[in-house]
Amino acid sequence: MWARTWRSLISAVFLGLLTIGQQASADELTNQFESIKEFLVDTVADSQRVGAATTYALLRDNLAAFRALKARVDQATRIDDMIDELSSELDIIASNFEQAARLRVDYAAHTTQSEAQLAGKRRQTRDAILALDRKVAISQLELQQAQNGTITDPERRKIIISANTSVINSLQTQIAIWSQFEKTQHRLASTLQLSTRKVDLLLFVLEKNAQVYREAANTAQLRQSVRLALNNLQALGAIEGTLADLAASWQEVDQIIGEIGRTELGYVGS
Amino acid sequence: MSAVSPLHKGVFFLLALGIVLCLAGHRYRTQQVESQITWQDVNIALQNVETAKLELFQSLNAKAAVN
Repeated sequence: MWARTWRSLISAVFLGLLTIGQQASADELTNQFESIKEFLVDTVADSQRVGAATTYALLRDNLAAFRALKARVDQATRIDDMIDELSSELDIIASNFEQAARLRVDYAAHTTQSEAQLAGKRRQTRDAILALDRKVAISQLELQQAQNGTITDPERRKIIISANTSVINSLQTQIAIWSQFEKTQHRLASTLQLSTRKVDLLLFVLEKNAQVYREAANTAQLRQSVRLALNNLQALGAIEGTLADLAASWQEVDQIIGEIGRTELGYVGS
Repeated sequence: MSAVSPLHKGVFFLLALGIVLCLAGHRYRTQQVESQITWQDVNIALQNVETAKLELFQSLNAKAAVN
């Protein structure tokens, strides 16, 4: 009778320790999963915003300057009479574009850093999958040993088989979720790279605008003709396609981030 | 040399407090705006600049035709 009680007690302790071990490890992985998720959301939010407010303010100033110039042109009887005003407004517009273009270097540095950090998170994700694979291998070995009859005590064998089967199922569910997470991160990294390139292209457009407007401002300073000064500005008209692409690429990034936000790490049987 | 009266002290204190609150408010507003503006907004702003530029050229061409 005592032997039977001891066996039951040892079995209960074994099952308990197995469960506690799984739970502690699962909590650690859950924290890691949540931490990576949070990092991805923050990184995308940063990439969408770094330098944007400053550039936006500069472009709003340029918009106001263009509108003021148009109003002045509409009121003027002879457009060449407003050459002084045009000269100073073009100087402001060029300066604003130049200031915005300088952000390109900072944005590129931020992008490089973000890409390296995202690659680091993917490595962490793959390491987590490998750790889970190792756990599956250990449980499978124990399961095989029990099934092969290495353990003679039938009660203990039954518990080991049932506990390890449950553990393996749970681990495989986790591996599936982590693997999906890794694939989503891969998709996010490439989409984000595309979107940040679009931002770089936009800043490149601003850089070229800065050069063109600076030369137009220099021409206007010669105080000859308004039309002569503004003539070359029309060359930069065809950037609508670039701008439309940028909006679409960020929408895709937002979509992936939405998917990541909805992903939960569910632990079956732990 | 006359000592600073409590009234003056109070006025200076309120003035300093006002400046600190104004600076804190400005900083808060800037942070709020910075946290909201994205590159998509910049994109729209640049589109608006392009439109304003084209409108300016239209006005210039119309004026040149009249002159």
